[in-house]
This record gives sequence, structure tokens and C-alpha cells, in this order.
Amino acid sequence: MAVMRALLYLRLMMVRNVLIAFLRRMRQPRYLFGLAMALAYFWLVFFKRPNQLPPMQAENSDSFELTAAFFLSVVAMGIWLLPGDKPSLRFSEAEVSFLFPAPLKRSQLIHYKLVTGMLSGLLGALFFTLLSARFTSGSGQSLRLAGGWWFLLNIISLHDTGAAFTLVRLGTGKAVVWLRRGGVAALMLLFVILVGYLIVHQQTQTLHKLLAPARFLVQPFFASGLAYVRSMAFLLLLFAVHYWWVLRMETPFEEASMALASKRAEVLAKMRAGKSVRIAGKARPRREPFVLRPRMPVELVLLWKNLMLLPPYLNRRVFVASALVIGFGMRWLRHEGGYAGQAAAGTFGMIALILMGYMLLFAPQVVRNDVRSDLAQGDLMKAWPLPGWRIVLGSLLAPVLVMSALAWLFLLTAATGIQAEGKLTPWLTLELKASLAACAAIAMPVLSALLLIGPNAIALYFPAWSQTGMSSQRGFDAMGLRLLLMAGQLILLLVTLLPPILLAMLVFYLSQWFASQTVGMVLATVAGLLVLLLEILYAIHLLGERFEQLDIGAELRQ
Amino acid sequence: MIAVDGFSKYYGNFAAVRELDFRVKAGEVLGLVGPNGAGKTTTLRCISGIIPATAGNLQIAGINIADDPVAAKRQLAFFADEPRLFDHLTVQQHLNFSARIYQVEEYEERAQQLLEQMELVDKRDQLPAELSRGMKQKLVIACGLLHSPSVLFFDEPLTGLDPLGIRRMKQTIKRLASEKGAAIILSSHLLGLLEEVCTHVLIMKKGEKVALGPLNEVVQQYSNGDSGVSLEEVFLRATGGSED
Repeated sequence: MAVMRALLYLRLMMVRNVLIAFLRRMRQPRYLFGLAMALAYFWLVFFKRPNQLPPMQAENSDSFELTAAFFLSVVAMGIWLLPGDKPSLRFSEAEVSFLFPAPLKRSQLIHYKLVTGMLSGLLGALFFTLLSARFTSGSGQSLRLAGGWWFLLNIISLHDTGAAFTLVRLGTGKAVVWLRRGGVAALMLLFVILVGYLIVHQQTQTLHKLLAPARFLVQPFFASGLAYVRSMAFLLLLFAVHYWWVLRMETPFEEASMALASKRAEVLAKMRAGKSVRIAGKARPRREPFVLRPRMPVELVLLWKNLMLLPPYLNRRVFVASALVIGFGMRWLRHEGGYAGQAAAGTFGMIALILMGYMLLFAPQVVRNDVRSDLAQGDLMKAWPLPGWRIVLGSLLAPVLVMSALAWLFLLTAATGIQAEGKLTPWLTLELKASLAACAAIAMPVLSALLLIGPNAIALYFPAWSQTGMSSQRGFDAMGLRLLLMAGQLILLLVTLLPPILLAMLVFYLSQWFASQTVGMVLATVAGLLVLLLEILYAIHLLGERFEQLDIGAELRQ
Repeated sequence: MIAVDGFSKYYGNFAAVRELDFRVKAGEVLGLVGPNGAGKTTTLRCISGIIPATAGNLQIAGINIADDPVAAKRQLAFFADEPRLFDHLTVQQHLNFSARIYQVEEYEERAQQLLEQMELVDKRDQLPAELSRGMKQKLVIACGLLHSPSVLFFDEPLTGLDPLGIRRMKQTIKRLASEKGAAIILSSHLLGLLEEVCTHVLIMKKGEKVALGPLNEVVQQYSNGDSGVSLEEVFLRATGGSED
């Protein structure tokens, strides 16, 4: 009992200190404001219901229950399919360091882990309750759902641990593991086929019987009154049986848990450092994107360095191969695929344009091997005999190249897919299509640079707010701040785009007096891009000055 | 204090440690040396009950660690190469937690002494993120010494310490052995440290014992008649200086 009190002390103190740190942070208005933003966002997403939903029809409820039961059955079978030969419980490195050499029984360690897992399960239950409450109605629904979710998530988690422990006792030889996996996979396939057969042949009674075990688990979400109490009692019993099952297993878990803790710590450290987390695969030397020469401009040297840090699949060969596949594939569809092929090519083209829009919007948040990741080596880079603007420019080149390459592939798909003077686009002449595509292709690197300026400016001007290479702010309030920063970034983008767009429109209008529409478009694009380029160069100059003055350590301590 | 007989640890078919036998008596400091992958850390982890041994009889203060791990662990402290602390516990709370987990009665005075010894008194309300690596190491040691263990295991104890920290650590290890009569096993690549603090040495290679005995006897064994041979030279002669 004294030991369990000690473990309880550990948890209570940790929660208390986290709360104290959170409240301390709230003394700063920016974090308080961030919290308000995040709360408003959650309220809009989870609580603001457009209208009270009508009660669910009985047949709909039955379909939902059967669907949920089907997926739950697949998950349960998957639990027996996946485990390898090393079962583990999730301990942190600190827990391994303090608890494993301590005078604790193995059962006490398991108790501790299971109980803390259940407490963490409360958060999961809360999240799923908020999510699922949007689709239900009636008083007391949230509490009913929360209870169901908590039991369901914990039973799945206990089943997962129990299965892993049991399977190790059954044998860990390669042959045994693959035999078991083969057997379970075959069973899963048979189950899916059987369910499909019963649905097609409308044998509802048999389907109900087949899915009966899983239906019991999901019943709290669909039942009410006495039926709800009965289903919760069943879950409680099942939960107790699972707990007893896991506790009774005398399976060694220490080594796998230590390895897992170490791996998780490594992943966490990488995430906190803003580096990419690649779980699988062994690190191998990368092929150089281009040969470094002694007298190469430093911007290209930084480009080389950041290209080397990209995932291996983002390389020149993949780009060329993709372009060839798209080019020849679209040509084949248009010329050999008949009417259906032409329609498909047109659809692909339109989808590519939409995807390009999304890519331009979100890639600056994902492709981060620029100033944001370089800030981790900020002190080293500041020691280089270079002006700040050259370092910023060099750091931006790699993500600009990646975004441009992706955009060019999307543009190629659109240009080859969308038919000139087609039924839906009679105004799109071949000449206009070609000039539009060429102008967009020329504009992409400049546009990508502009889109990347915002996140990099935030990293340099507000490093404590932004997720830089050195650290990241976590928590509800920090999430609100990021939402705020994204909105600010969008406004900044619109303001920056306004002058070049206005100039381009003016040039296009004036050029109509002396040139064709196509020539006018090219002239307008060039004029707009020149203004945009000037804006970007000025922004890089400002960011360079900021980089030179930045004391990253002092900023992150704030 | 520490008795190891026929200890082996296998991972599948791979033998991390094979048929190891040795004793460490009260007041002795055994230096565990060997190339990378020799099985030093595995040995320390198994003897301290962190992971189970595949075979062998491992005793701590006369208690078999496999039969009664709880009683055996009450007698020992294990210090890993990296100080791993709870992000959200303060220095004082780490000590409070350790006292509770080892059920140390009226620990406050002892905790205060340790904080003073480790120069952590003014850091007692700080979180690990606010401590330097050396201070974190000191905190881990303070937590480990709180229950006055009679058997101690150190895995690379000097990693990341400043010169003063290194001197203090060496003094602590020597004092624990000589004044408190603790049995200590110390694994390190820093052979100079071992020469200074160890009474005995165990040289391992590929999971097997290469040499074992009092430091001067092992040095003598590999001196080939030369005088003033260092432990570094002994290590190189005994292991060939490589992992293979």
C-alpha cells in the first residue's frame, strides 16, 4: 500500500506542477489570449451545434451499431495479428530509471501502468465524447457516452496488453509468429467475406448473431434506460476480467519496455527539436543533390545542405520519373482512353489544380528545412563570415525548390489533363492554356518564396511562440497562439499580394491596346513577379538583419 | 555482498553474457571494463534486477534477486549513464518520491544532508529543465543514496560532469566503499577513473570474462615483466583493444 501511495504521490505532484506551470504562463497576456483563442476554437468545433438533431431512427441506429461492431471485431482480431515477440508496457525513461531498480513487485509495476493508463484514458474518452456528442441528442447523453468511451478504450488497451503477453507465452519463434499471423489474417479475411455475404443477401438475423460479442461492447452508445445499465454492467465485468487477465500473466516485459521508452524518448526529442521522425529504416548515406564546388555561392551550399536533409524520396530522379509518368499517362488517357479516358484526364486535371492550392497553403507548415530548422544551429551560423540576408536566402531555397517542383507536377497534370476548347472550357484556347501554364510555372518559385517568408518571419521575430528547431511550446494556449499566427500570416499574404496583382491587372489592361491577350498575360505576369520579387528581397533583407540581432537562447527563455 | 555464479544472458541465440562468476565484498569497488558490446551494461542491469537473467544465481546481500527481488532491491542503488528525471517533479519532490518508493522513515534530515553534499539546496524547487547535466546527475545520486544502499551500481558515472563534479564523484564512490562499507560495481571506459577508485577489476569481452581479480594482481598478470604498466595498457593487452 505504501508503494502505491508513493506512485500516487508521483502522479499527483506531476499533475500539480503541470497546472502550476500552466497558470504561471497565463500571467503573460499573449498566452492568456492564446488560451481564449483555443477555447473559442474548441467551442466552435465541438459545442456549437447548428440545430438540435432529431432522434435517431431505429433502423439507422441498428445500422450504426452493426457497423461499429464490425469495426470493433476487426480491431480485436488485429490485436492478435500484430504483436511481435517482445511485449511491452509504456514507461517513460524516468520511470524506467526510478522504478525498475526500486523494490517493487512486477505486479505493482503493472498495476501502476494500468491505472495511469486508465487516467490517461479519461482524456481520450473526453475527446471522443465531444466528437460523438455532436451526432446525438437528449439530456445526459454526454455522460452516457463518456462512460461508454472510457470503458471501451480501456478494454481495447487491456486486450492489447493481454494479447501481447499471452502470445509471448505461446511461443516467440519466427515460425510460430508467422503461423499465428497467417491464421489470424485468414480468419479476418473469412470474417470480412462472411459479413459481406450476409449484407448482400440481407441475412440480418445471422449478421446480428455473428457480431453479437462486439455489439455488447458498443451497446452503451445506442441503448437507454435499463438496457444502458445492463450494457454498462457487462462492460464493467469485461473490464475486470481483462484487468485480472493482464495481471495474472507472468510475462517479462522489462527489456521491451526499456527499449520502447528509449525509442519514445528519442522520437520525442526529435519532435521537440523540430526534426522529422522516421521510425522505420536504417539511416544510410544520401546521394548528393549536386556536386559542391569550392567557389560556389554560399546560398547554393545552404541549398545543398538542406536538400541533403530532405526525405530520400524527394529527389531529382523521382521528380523526372513522376513528370514522365504524368505526361505519358495523361497523353494515353486522352488519346487511347476514349470518352471515359478524356473525362478522367479532365477530372485529374481539375483535382490537380485543387491539390496544388492545398499544397501551397499547407506545405510551408510541413516543409520546414529552412530558417526554422536552422535556428537549432543558430549560434554556429551566426559565427559564419556572412551577412544575415545571405543565410536567410540560402535557407529558403530548399523548401522553395520542393514546393515549386510539386507545383510544377500539379500544373503538368492540369495542363495535360484539361482539354483546350473542351465542353466545359470552350473559352480555353490551346494558346491560352499554354501561356497560362507557362506563366503559372514561372510564378511558382516566387510564390513559394512569398508563402515561406511568413512562417520564417514568425520563427525569427517570435521564436518563443513558433515551433523552431530548438524547442516547441506545447499546450492549449500555445495551440491558440498558432491559430492566431496562421490568421495573421494569411492577412500578411493578402497585403503583400495586393500591389503585384494590381500592377499585373493594369499591365494586362494597357497591353490589350497594342498586343494579343497571350502577350498581355505574359507581360502582366512578368510585371507582377518583378514587384513580388522586390518585396521578397526586401523581406529577406529585413529577416537577415533580424537574424544577425537575434539572441535565440534569450528569446526561448522568455 | 554481491555474489554472481554461472550468470548468462541470452537474446534469442545471441549470448550477451556467458557463464560469469565473481564476488564483490563489503568495502570493495569492482571496475567493470571491456570494449563496446562486451556485456557490461547488461551485466549491471541483470544483477540489479532491472532485467531478468537467463541463467545463474545472482545474490545481493545474501538475497537471491530472482527469488525475492523486492528485498534484494531494497539493498541496492543503480545509477544509469544518463540522468533520467521526471520532467514535472522538482528536485525536492524527486527526493520525496524516492523516500516513499524505498519507504525511508523520517528521511527529511537525510534528504537535507544529501542536498547540501550535492550542492543542490538552492535548487530544491527547480524542475529538471532548469538544471545543468551535472546537477541532474547529482540529483540522481542523491535520490539513490537516500535509502542508504549497501550495494551500488554505477554505469559510466562521470559522463557529462565538470572537473569538480568528477572529483566529487570519485570522492563519493571512495567514501561509500571505505566509510560506509558499500560493495560497488562501476562500469566505465575511463580507465584512469578505475585505477583511482577501484580495488578490483573485471575485464570482459564479447560477454565473457577475460580477467578478474584485485587491480594490482590483474596488472601484474598482464605486465609481462614490465614495470609501471597502466590499466590502459593492461586493457589493450587483455582485449586486443577492439570489439572483435
